[in-house]
Amino acid sequence: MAEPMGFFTDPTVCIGCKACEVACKQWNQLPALDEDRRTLSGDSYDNTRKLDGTHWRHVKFVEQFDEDRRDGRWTMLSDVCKHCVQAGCLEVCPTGAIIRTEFDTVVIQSDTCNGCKACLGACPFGVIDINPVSKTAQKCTLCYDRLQAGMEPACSQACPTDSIVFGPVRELKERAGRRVDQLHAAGEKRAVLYGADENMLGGLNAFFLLVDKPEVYGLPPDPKMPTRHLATGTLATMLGAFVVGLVSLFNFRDRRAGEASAPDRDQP
Amino acid sequence: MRMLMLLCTLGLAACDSPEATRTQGGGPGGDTGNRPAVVRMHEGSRPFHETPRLVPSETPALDTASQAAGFSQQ
Repeated sequence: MAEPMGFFTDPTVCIGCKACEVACKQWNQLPALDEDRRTLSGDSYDNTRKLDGTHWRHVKFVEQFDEDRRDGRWTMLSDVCKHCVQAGCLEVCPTGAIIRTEFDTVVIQSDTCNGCKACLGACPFGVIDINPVSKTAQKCTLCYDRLQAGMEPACSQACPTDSIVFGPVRELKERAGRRVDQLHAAGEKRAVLYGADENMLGGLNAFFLLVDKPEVYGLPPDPKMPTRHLATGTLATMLGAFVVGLVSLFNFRDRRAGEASAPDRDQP
Repeated sequence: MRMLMLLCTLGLAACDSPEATRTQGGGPGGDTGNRPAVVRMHEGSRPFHETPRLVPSETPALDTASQAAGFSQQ
């Protein structure tokens, strides 16, 4: 197995050019528009709106202004599938269409997917959606085809500011740590890494540097595996079934006892 | 009673989460290994789907992204 590969995304140097979105769409031959959405969103310059079956990269525009609008901050974050070390989507897929590659990334096989949408609900980040052309679930493949050929993913190669950096996850973590230290030294004390440690779904192979709360960027603060309550839920179900069975048993016994003790009405 | 115990044990065993304990680079996890020699990721690509065009024309759908197919064959 090759070394785990991934992305480190640093929004402090993102200029919102969306070259990553365009490169992703060009390489993967994804349509420019999705379904009937032909209007502008009105949400800053973000007309992609969200990650879905035809948008595998999404540059989020976060505008933060004072009430009097004298001071403000505009940050952009290029969101993508996190290629979780503990992937909920992979676990719930009933057809085995979602696989883990030799690069430790998570890929959906389009020809094996039956479009059941189980993975849509299982992803805590809302990354996966149905592609309206193929009618199957699709998301970022971390350019598996390019990786197999020894090439860099299209988005990170197109990024003009190196906001998206591709490489072995181990090296990316070292680089990200240095960047956080640099920002702290420069006075930006809010800089933290999101998904770099193992506490979040075992670690995210595509992790981020944030300069605010994750919610500000539309990211869940504490994503969890959908199967985390499976054992307790099953135990509770078994207990419930046992109690219902017992109640039914006593009911039937009482009814039979009542019927046996009652006088026979058919007798003259 | 034995049957009930067996069912309970099977039920709990079915709750196993192979991904929950997985570590970075730590094997396939919940991957069932259901894949052919060539992994297909781009079935039915239509680059101009729902995109308004000045000159209306019907281009045939692409089977798969050609560059992806080329690499997958290697």
